[in-house]
Amino acid sequence: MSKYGFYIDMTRCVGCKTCQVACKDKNNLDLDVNYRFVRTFETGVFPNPDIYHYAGTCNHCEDPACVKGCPTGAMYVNSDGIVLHNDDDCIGCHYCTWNCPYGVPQIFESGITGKCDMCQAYIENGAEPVCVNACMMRALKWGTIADLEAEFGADAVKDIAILPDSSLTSPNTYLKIKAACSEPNYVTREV
Amino acid sequence: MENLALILFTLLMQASAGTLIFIAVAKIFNKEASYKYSYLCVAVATVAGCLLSLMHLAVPMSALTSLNNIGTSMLSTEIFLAGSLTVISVIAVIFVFMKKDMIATVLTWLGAIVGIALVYIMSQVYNATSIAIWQGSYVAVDFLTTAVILGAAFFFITKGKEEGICPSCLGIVALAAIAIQVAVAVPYYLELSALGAGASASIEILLANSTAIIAKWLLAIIGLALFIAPAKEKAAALPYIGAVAVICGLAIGRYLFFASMVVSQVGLV
Repeated sequence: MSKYGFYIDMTRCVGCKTCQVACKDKNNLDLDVNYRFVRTFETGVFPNPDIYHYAGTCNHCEDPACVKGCPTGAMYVNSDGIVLHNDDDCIGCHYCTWNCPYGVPQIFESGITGKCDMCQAYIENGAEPVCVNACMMRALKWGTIADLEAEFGADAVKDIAILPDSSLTSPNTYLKIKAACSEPNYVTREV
Repeated sequence: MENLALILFTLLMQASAGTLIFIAVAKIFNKEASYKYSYLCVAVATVAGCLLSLMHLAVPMSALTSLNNIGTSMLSTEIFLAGSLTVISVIAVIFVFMKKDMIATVLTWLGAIVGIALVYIMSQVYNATSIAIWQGSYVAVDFLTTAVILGAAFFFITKGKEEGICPSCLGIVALAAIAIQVAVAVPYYLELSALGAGASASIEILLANSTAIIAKWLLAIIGLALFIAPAKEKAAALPYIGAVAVICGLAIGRYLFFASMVVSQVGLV
């Protein structure tokens, strides 16, 4: 079965957070809980300052640390490569929140955790994940790994300064980056 | 004190594992001794530890499902070993009070071995996370030496008048364990900043808690000095005060272990 992944064109993203809002709305998430999150980073100094935005979510990794650590099996990899979370099996130990180097699993008020399921119910019916559909800059794409590789593989990367080393979990998110994304000296900015 | 349940769980389980080791060794030197209060203390500590670990969960009634991934998930394996140690400790104390010495001794050694395995796997639970300050062999050394130090202190306090291992010998073993802890901790903390932004954020938390760090080492060192000093009749309580001070010092150290946790995330790696 084909495995799915995301593509983020960081040269297009303007940090509008529409994807974050669409995801929050679709999943009816608690306050302070975000399955997709947009963060802004500033690099350089005058006369060469730069800024970029990272619209992150679960990377549906090949070797997900959250799945490896989960004691109950609530976190698991589906046959289509999507990393899913079964709320009924979750005991709220929060170990997945310690394990994921991207800080993806979120803790609900009830104490159990949750995360992006790549809008599985939508894609099974031929629709796109809501974040991809909502992106007004068309900076977010979604598809099978093979299609993403074929279309964007040539100029896509998986490692940038703000992310953990991709060899840790082999994320299935492809990034088209600006030069500033490789700058090791960055400052997080609230926008 | 978000992680109070985990602080107490780790300390109680490590103390239990250490105490069982000292009971097992002491029984070699004094076959007549029962050490029943030490056994009772271990059983109570392991049961309390398991109950406290449940309090950490959002759905404690489903706690048994945490055993689904033994062998593949470090946390699942830890919970299995903690449960096993608790069962062994409770059965052992029953046999001790029934005066079935042979079975109790076998269970003590079994408990000591399971306890050591538990403490090591416990360290790997934290090692396996993305939290920078919990990486490296320091966590395993810290947990194993803490088990020895707490075990010595608990055994000394609970053994009563029964002989086996002299208090000074217990103190010297604890001192050696603390020396190992210091020898590993110093280079570890000096090299920590090289581990990235997450580790640097943890260092900032530790620096903000410098009073607690000083209190930890003062209590541990003064406590050990009182523990090791030959007991005088007029000051018979001093070694006990020392043992309690050592336990308090290590408890502060465990608080710092959890307080300095900074979870890795985008922009903080």
